[in-house]
Parts: sequence; structure tokens; C-alpha cells
Amino acid sequence: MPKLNLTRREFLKVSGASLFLAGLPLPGFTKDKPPGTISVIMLEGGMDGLTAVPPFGDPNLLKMRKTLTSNNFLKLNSFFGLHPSFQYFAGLMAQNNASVVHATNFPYVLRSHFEGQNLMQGGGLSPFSETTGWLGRALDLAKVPGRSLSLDMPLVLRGMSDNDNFYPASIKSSSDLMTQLIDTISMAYSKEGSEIFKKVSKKSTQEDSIVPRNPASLAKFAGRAMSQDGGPLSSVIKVDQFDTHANQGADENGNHGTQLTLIDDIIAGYKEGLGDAWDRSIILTLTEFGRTVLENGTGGTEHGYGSAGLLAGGAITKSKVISQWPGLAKNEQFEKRDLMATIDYRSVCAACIEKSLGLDHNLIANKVFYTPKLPRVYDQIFS
Amino acid sequence: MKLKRILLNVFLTIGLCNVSVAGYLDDWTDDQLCGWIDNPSPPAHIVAEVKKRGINCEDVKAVAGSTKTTTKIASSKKKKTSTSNSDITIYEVVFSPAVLKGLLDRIISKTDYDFSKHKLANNVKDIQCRFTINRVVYDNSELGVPEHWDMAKGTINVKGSDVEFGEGSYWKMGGLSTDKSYLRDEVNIKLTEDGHFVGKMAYFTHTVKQGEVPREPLYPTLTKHKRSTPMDVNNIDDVYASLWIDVEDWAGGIMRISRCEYL
Repeated sequence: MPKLNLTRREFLKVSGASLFLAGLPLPGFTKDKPPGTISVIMLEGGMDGLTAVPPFGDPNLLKMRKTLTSNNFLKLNSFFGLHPSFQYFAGLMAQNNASVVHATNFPYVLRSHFEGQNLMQGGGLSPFSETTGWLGRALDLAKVPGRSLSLDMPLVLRGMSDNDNFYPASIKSSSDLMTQLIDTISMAYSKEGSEIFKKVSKKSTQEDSIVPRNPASLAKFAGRAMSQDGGPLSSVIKVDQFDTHANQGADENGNHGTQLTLIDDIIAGYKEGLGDAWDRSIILTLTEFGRTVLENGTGGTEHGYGSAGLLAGGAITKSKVISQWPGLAKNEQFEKRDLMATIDYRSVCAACIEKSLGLDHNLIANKVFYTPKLPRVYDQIFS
Repeated sequence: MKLKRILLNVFLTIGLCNVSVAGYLDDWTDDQLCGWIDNPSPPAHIVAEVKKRGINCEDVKAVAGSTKTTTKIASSKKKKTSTSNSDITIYEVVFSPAVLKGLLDRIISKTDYDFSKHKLANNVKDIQCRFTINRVVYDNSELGVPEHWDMAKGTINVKGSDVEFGEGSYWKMGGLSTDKSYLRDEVNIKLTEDGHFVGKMAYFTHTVKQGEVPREPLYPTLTKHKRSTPMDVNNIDDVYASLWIDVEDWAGGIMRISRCEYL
């Protein structure tokens, strides 16, 4: 029989990801179906945009990041490169189905994981100011209510009581003890609470719970679900371990490189699962902040500000790097340490919502991000 | 004495708070601050900073008349704001033809296959046959030991060189294999003129029991295997083919085709 020899990289591939689906049109729902689907990959810990998409044309990059910049990056143009972990993403760029927004982030500068993650999901004006998420509010505006229930609904999807999520867990086949436990807990709750636990039990024992739990398989499952008629319009996959304070590494096998490979696998999984629905899909990454420009004494980086956002999907028809490059010289850095974010990433999210859900930009700016003057970057991304 | 100590503590606290807030807002341009002011409920420390600088925010921009605007913007010209898209640059992505081909090869589907190296059948009329797939285990024998239970079974339709599995076909390997779409959507095989199946398909070689973590399928390449007995497409009434499939080192499979009839 086959031996199970897992390398560290393979182990990481099968761990640390969660999937959430939302926006299932209700039967009999008469509004025209939104034009596309939107998927979010949340990268928790702070992805290093300068490693993922190295601006090798900036003379200060190699001066400040001697051990963090791969020699093996793919040249996208005369200024930006792509980390070698992005094998599939590079293929999508060649196919004109992927782009990068660089020197960007949510307007949050205090470098706390908790606050930053809350703000990138809530999309509000300050951390912990919102009880709903920007994607949930957008789905609500698009009038695509879904089935709903959640034990662990990420903030980014919260927006209406009917939103739903999914995580593959076949508790029925694990043991009867688990189902008995759920029944017991449900009896202790009031009618509404009891109904929720019944849903948990039902969802966890349904046939489509059989999904491998590695990120790529979750993405493929999500893509297949979203490709079906009446399937969800949105999904969120969460991956952690981007917080590389030490031994960050430069290449594919480094700590950060391994995590970047996960992103690549997830995007590949989405494309495989979406099939023909790829043509109307958009996938975007979120991270709470970037990392310091200068590497630290332990071969890592500290919490920073600006990072890079990766976009993929058939909705993109021309690959490019979109940036208002601020420079990496000391006096060009934010607080003389971080990559400056010159593009508000909420604008990027707004453009993706506009493209996938067909909502008007001003409506998104007002009702989703509470920022009436939020710049519109739709044309830069999608034309 | 006690009052003095309290007052000292209060002054120190206030002083330190102001320093810490002012510290990170010092690098913000007036336009950035105004971007936040335009929000329905701007954070209090932003409001305080705007008041402190005496900025007059209008239409998200710091406007003339606010004393510090000109110098601040001039001094931080390269620190572009997070609220304007007028200076965004589009960096086109450009690959040489050789690099482009290599990159595009990375995103081919798991079932993509180049059939051009084969002579494909072209005169087979619409027929349906029965099929089974049996596992061959190589653990104890180089030649392999066929197992006597079906991993998958059902019908297979052939028309021209196109090969498709019929509606009622299914894998019996548990886990993901119970999803019938794999036999429908993730199969790309064709019939050659000498009766072999070539191409790629999703293939489940491991049994997954209830409660076990499911496994993704493998995508072996079906070839003109030297141990195969090909289909005799000219004699539909007496087809009995056994097509060997190399899957992994420890196990492969045999697809047996029989009982064909015209549709």
C-alpha cells in the first residue's frame, strides 16, 4: 500500500483553511441574476506584498531586502516581478486573467492583527465599528439573500440574517456521539437556537460535506458550487500564517513562499471548480497589512502598512500591475518603515463588487463602505 | 504633595497620549485626513488632527485657504494619498513569446490531452457498451494481481472517436468518487482506430471509508498499453476488451469493455 510521506509543504497544504459560501438566490427570486461571482481569499497575518510582487525596478528593494527577495522571480515588466511560488497565477497573467494592485491596503496604520483583520472584513471607518462585513452588505444590496446559518461566519460575509456558510465536516460518519451531542445542545436552547443546531446537524451530515480539507480542494468545491444554477454567488476562503517575523525566506520553499503557494493552489482550485463560470468570476485577496520594507535581524519582517492585492478571474480581460508607486527610499516610506499604501483597497473591493454583483459604484461607496467619495478604480482594473 | 503627584500623572498621561497619536498622523497628508473627514463618522483623533492643522476639507481634498495645505502637499508629493486615483499608473504585463508559451502550459486542465499523435477512430457508429474498472495491485508481484471487485461500473458510449460514460455509471470508492460529475465532466478520452482508449480522466484508486478524509482523484493518462486487448470495433457483437491503465507504482487498473450494441 502507498506510504504517507508528508513534507512540511504538503502538510501545510492540507491545513489551515476555512471555506464560507454565501449569496444563494432563493427559489422564486425574480430579480435578474447578478452578472458574476465574487470570491475572497483572506490572508491573515499580513502578507508581504514586496515579496509576493517584488518591485525590482526600485533601486532600494535589494538594498533593504537582501535575503528576502527571490532571484528566481518572473519579470512581469521592467519594474515588477512575480514570486516563483505563483506558478499558476503567472499562467493566468499570461492568459490575461490576473492582475496585481500594488502599494495598497485598507486605510489602517496601527499594525494590530486584530484591528486590521476586523477592518479588512468590516470595511468600516475604524476597527470594531461594524457588526456586518462589506461583502455581506454588498450581497444584501444586490438582493441575493441566501440560506443561512453559521457557527463561524466571518465578519466579511455578515450583512443579513439569511446569509449562509459551509464547512465540510461529516460528523455523522465520525461518530454518533457528535450527533447526539448536537441534539443535546439543541434541546437546551430556545426554539430559534434549537433550529440553528438542527441545521448544523443536517448540513454536517449531507452528502456534499465530503470534501478534502486542503485549501485547493475547498476552492474547487466552492467553484463547483458557484458554477451551478442557483448556486452561491460568493465564497470566502481564509488562510493564516502570513506573519513571518523570522526566517521569512525568499524562494518557494521559504516560510512565506510556502504560504504564497497556498494562494496559488487556491486560485487554481477555483478555476478548476468554476469551469465555464470562470468567465464571469472575480477572485481577490485581502490582508490586514503589509510588512516593513527593511528586513529585520532574524531574516523576517515586522507588521507594516501597504501590501499587494492579487486579482484573478475571467472577469479580468487584460493582465496588468496597477499602482501609484510611492518608492522605497526611507523618506518615501510610511513612518520611515513601511511601504506606503497609495491606493485605498476598498476601491478595489468596490470595483470587484460592481463587476460581479452589478451594483452602482456610488451605492457601494455609500452603503457598503460608508465613504461617498471613495475613488472608482473599475476602469483601471477591468478595461 | 499628593495633589502635586496626581496633577503630574494627569499631565504626563495627556502628554504621552498626544505624542502617540500625533506621531503616526504626522506623516499623513492633509488630503488623507480630509478623506476620512468626508466619512459620516470620522474617528475622533482624525477630527482632532484636522482641527489642529486648521485644514478646511471640501470634496475630500484640503482646499486653498487652509494654511498648511500647500507646503504639506509640496513636501509630500511622493507620498500619494489613499483617496485619489488620478495618479495611478498601469504597468502593462509583457512576456516574450517563449516565456508566454511556458506560462500558458501551466494552466492547462488536468484532463487536457494532445490527441494529435494518435490515429483516432472515425467510423464508429453510435454504440453503447458495458464497462467495469478493476484494480491491479503490484505490491507482491511485478506483473500485478487483478482484484475481483469492481471499482467503477456502468455504460460507455462511443461515437466516432468520442468516448463518454453513460448516465448510470458510477465509482464505488467512497468519498468524492460518489459525485457522479467526475465521470461526466472530468473525462477526456478518445478511441483510436486500433481500439485503444487514450486521453485523461479523473480516477479514484483509493477506497475512502465513512469518516475518513476524502481524497482528490488522480488524473492518469490512458495509453496504448502493451498488455491491453483492444476493442474490435468492426465486430460489435463480440467485443471483449481489457484496457490496462497505469496509475501509481503500487496499483493500476483494467477497464473491461463488453456487451456492446448499436444505439
